Amino acid sequence: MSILEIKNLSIEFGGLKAVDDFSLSLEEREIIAIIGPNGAGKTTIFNMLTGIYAPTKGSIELNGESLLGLKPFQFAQKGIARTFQNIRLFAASTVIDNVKMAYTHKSSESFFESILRTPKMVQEERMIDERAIHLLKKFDLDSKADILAKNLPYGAQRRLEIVRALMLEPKILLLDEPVAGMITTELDDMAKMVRELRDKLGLTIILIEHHMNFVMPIADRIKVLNFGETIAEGSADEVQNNPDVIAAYLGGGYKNVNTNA
Amino acid sequence: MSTLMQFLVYGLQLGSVYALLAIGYTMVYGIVGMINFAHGDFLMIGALSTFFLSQAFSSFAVNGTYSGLIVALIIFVAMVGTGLIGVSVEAIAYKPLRNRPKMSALITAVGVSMFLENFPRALPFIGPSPRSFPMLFPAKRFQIQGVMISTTQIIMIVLSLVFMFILYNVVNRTKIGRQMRACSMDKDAAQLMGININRVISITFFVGAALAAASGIFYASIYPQVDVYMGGWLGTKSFIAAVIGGIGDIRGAMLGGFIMGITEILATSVNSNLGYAIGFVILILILLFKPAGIMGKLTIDKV
Repeated sequence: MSILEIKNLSIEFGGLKAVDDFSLSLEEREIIAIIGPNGAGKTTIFNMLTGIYAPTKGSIELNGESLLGLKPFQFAQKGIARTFQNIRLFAASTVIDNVKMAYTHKSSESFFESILRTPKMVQEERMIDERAIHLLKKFDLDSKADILAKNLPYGAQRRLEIVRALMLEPKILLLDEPVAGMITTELDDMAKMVRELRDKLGLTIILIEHHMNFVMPIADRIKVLNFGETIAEGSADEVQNNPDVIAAYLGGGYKNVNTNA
Repeated sequence: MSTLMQFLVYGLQLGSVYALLAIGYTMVYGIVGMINFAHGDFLMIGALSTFFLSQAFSSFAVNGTYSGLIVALIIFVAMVGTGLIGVSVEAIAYKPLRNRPKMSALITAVGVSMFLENFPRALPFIGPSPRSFPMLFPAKRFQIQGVMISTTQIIMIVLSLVFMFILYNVVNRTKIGRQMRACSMDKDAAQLMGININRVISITFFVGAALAAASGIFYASIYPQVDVYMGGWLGTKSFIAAVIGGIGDIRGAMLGGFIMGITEILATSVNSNLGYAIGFVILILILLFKPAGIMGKLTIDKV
């Protein structure tokens, strides 16, 4: 059974169809990439999948349960986490606090327990601390736990955004241009990290990206969007050789990326 | 020297009133991004409701004094009640305007302030006339090395420091604190991290209004007269305290409150008219030399 079922998702902004009839059936532990030119509606899809925009038409079902009409924080609590195209960390907080801020929905601490600092509450805080440290360790950020997020190097900020999203304990992770602005070596690290997310944590991932060197080797399936419409879908090889995709996005001079890398 | 110490005691006492009130201004500004001009009136609601509560409990009073337990109960009920009024004010007046231009919320806040002052004034059982506030705390006085200090002053200063300590801990070391800080930095990202920002904003107003109520009870315990307009002037001065400390920063509000209280008492001791002016003098100096306030950091908005 598919974990996420998106059917005929469409949204209009004052007559402009930003996304038209987008359908996607995600299997567990799949990595799907959405590519396409700027303005094709990729981030708009993410915004619908996280409850920021309400679609004009269509359905979103997570494990058979419809998510339409829920608020963004409820989408997050149900298990869809995301990162942002332009990094949006809680910049003035420490690295570890950034991560802990994404775990508040799973904590049962009440307001009065917080005031009184009951033993139960203190214990829970310790548990959250341990979780956060554990996760930071996994992604090599534990040595920077007490640094302010805004003082991290760019690549580490991108990684921290993913770690923060993982703290939500999501089922599905949406990565919006995870390697934007990164250099080639960082690209490889990120590709390794994304694979680990799937292999070790069992996550299902949808990613938006313009770096074809990054997308082609790791994506199980690729969807190509242009002007809100899906113009192609398939494996990296199929998409790269599709004349419509070359015309709309990849360009005539495009050389195939070796997908067996 | 002992005169100076004596003024310092008065200054701390008045400062704790300003500090508790300034915290509410700064928290609401930090999280919602608006200045709640009705915040001073929460102080009035706290003081007035304490007056009526103590009347309701008057049968428990022995020779006009209440037992510690009853006083604690009265203060607790007044704080929670005022907190809930704060939550409803936000839900009714400010929430519908959250995504509108900032100016709308600001003007609404002025309107809410007028309403909170004049609605009780129009109610027959409250009315405009000032009332004398009951003695809640024992009025014993001690003399320590020439400095007179009363139990009321000790209780006030200690309790307000306790409240501030708890608040600081809650904001920095608990779940709701993390949610508040996340909302103050980036509301959209916060909701995508599973945080219900409506709930966080409600709790912020609850905490701010409850602390304002405590501040009102303390103020009325030193200057034992309460009326529906008492929040206006005190609110203005506490707002100045919050700006001096750096609006948006809780430590700044506490510091600003005590600076305001102590300088006001010192200035009054020189000339009684100077007391009112000194706060504004400090405000102007701060705005000239450190526009973001003592604790605040100047942020430059990207254009």
